[in-house]
Amino acid sequence: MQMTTDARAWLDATVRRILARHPLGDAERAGITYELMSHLHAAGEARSTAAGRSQVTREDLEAALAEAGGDDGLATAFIQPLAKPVERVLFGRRLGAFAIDVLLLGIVLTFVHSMLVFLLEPLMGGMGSASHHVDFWWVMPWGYHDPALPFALQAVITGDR
Amino acid sequence: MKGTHVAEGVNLWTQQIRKGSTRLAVLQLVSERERYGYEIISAIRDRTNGALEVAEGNVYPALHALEAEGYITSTWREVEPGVPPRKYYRITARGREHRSMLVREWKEFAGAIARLLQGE
Repeated sequence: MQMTTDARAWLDATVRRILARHPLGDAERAGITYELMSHLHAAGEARSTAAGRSQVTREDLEAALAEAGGDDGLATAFIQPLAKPVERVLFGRRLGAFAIDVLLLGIVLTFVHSMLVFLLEPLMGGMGSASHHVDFWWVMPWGYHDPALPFALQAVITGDR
Repeated sequence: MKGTHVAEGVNLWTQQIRKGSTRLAVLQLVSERERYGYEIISAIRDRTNGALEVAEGNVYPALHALEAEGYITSTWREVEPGVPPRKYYRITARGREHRSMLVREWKEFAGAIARLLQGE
């Protein structure tokens, strides 16, 4: 059954208004637009037929929307089923993700450290690259260390910081 | 005040029964012939004389879930030029099997409750 011009304009505006309140992808938006329009038109058509009219009017569509619980009612019916449920992630997978994060962080910090040493070394009086670990200890987030010292002493110095 | 709480409790219980039976009602209707969403809502209301008046918020999520589980399929169909197309739902072979199981469970459950209430 055809709609009046007023009913068609109201239907377009109403569906746009309902969808504007929900973040959706293009494909989902297109699908739900069809579903909302189809439902409201079918419900309006039933009212129009019962009233003995030959066209769906804006009042038919407004009554259909009200019966469906308004904007929120229709959003619950059509949009919520698309929401993905929150999944429980097991400890093993979380641990794996943490290990990957640590690895990536290590790579990034090593790169940043190397870049800082490379860039700052000429500014520090042309010191040899062999001594940068002594002179640039302040750029090392894990603290001072001097590989020339005995390992135990390095550990004590690191522990003091 | 106490009566209000009792009525609210009954309403909640009724809502849960309706929600639980929506899946079976939808499967039954689309097993008879293909139907679109609003037609399913109307048929449930008419065939149960309004006793099982389900809302859009129950029927459409049930349709989405049944389709995702492979129990029904859908097809968009243009019914008339210039009006929105309609999405028709049809039951699958797997859906028929699922429906038979639900019917069996429902009858067993309803029978058990009826026997229980006879003791009153």
